Formats: sequence, structure tokens, C-alpha cells
Amino acid sequence: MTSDDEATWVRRLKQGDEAAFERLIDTYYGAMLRLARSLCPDPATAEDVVQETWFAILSAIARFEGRSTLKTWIFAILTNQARKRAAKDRRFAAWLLGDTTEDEAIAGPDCATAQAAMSPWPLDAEAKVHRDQVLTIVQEAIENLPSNQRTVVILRDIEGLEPAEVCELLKITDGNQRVLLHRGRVSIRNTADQALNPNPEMSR
Amino acid sequence: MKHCCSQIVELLVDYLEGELSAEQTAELDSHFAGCPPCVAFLETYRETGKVCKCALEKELPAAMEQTLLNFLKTTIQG
Repeated sequence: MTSDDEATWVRRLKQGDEAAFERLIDTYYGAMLRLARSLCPDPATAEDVVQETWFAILSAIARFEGRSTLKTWIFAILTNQARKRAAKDRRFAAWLLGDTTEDEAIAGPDCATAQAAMSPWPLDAEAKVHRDQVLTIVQEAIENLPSNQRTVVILRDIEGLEPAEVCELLKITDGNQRVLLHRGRVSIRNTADQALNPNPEMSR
Repeated sequence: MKHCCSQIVELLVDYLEGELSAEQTAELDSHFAGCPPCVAFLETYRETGKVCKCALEKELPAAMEQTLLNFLKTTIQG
């Protein structure tokens, strides 16, 4: 979408155009729910946060000035709603309130043992069964990540946000953003690879 | 400086985003040229982001979309 398209869309939203809001739901509801589920301790709370975000969007759209994309603006409202909840609910991850991140080891290739090349993942269109298997494994691996890594992976790799946008949204440094993205990706990659290449010498 | 495989892994985000110096990039390229496990790791690492997108993109259930739309219409009209 060009910036002109988005400006026209925003103008229609500000006018209360129903079709424009319908498009907003079509375009961003899934992404909002994914992000909320990553930030919140349970699905019901995530749905509440999304609902509160819609209220906030409706009351704030008149003041939207287009200094960020519509998507980033919506995500900023959503993360703020989640932070408000987190301040009152101890089940939320501490990092949302600014606690520091714990370091974890990364399992990458090992010079001493990884002698054989790993098999590529079977993701071609003809191998649908394998593809579905990979996607299920990856989905579970994403869900099992620590919430800070999961949130960064979702924002960078799934929603396609720029590093600076992610840092601004999550109130983290660029270095932290890179570490969280990398650890999340490696963890997902390793889980998928172990499932697809169960021979340990082939899946380092 | 020669890198071992575990050090290569730590540099992948910066490598893929073009954030490394020309010298570091050349060192990694040189390592990849002689290290099939790292090439396989790089390829699957690069693939991970794309696969994550496929794995999590789901259609919004129609019933939920209609409920939300009704809520927004009521709010807009109110």
C-alpha cells in the first residue's frame, strides 16, 4: 500500500466511514490478536486487550497524524493497553514493565560434530503433508518461546516491522531487539530442524 | 580473524541485514565457502522467518469479524 492509499484510508476512517472500518478489521484484526496473545498471559485477556484497543482506536483516530504507519500506530495503542493491564496483573511477563532480559544459550552448528550438511526443510508445494508438519512444529515453537522473544519475532518476521519501530513499541534498545530476534529465530529453527532431521549428527 | 561456527551464528542477524562491515562480511562469506553445516544453518535460519509467517497467518473467524463489525458500527453511530 502506498502512503497516498493509506492517507485516503485514514481520511475515510476519520469521517466514520463504515467500509473503511470494515477494511481495518479485515486487515489488522488477526495481527492485533496475534500480538495481544504474545503479550498477554491468557487468550481471554488478549481478547479484552484487543477490544480495549478498538475503543482506543475509535476515540483516537481523529488525532492520528500519519507520523507512523497505521499498523505501527495500532500496535502502539495495543502495547500501551497491554502495559496498563500488566501494571495491575502479575501474570504478565515482567519485561513488559521494563525488567531486564535473561540471557540464554544458543545452540548453533558445532565445528567438532557437524560434519554432514543438514537436509533442507521440505517446504515445496508438492510435499503438502511435510509442509503442514513443518508449519505445525513452527507454530508450537513460536508459542513456546519466552514472551519477549516471541513478540519480537512476531513483529519483525510476521508483521514486517522495521527494527526501529519494534524498539519504539517495546521500549527496548536496538541491541536487545537483535538479540531477542536472533534467539527466537534460532530456537524456532532448531526445534523445526530437530523434528525434520531427527538424526542428531544431521541436525546440529 | 577466523570465526568458528558458533561465532558465525551470533552474527547472522547483522549479516542478513547488511549491518556487518565489508571485512566481517568477507570473513563470513569465506567461512560459508568451506563449511556446509553453516551454509545449511544459514539457509534454514533465513527460511525461519518466512515459515513463521506462514505458520501464524490465519483467517479471522467470520463470526468474530461480524461481532466486531457490529460493535464498531454501533460505536460509530453512537
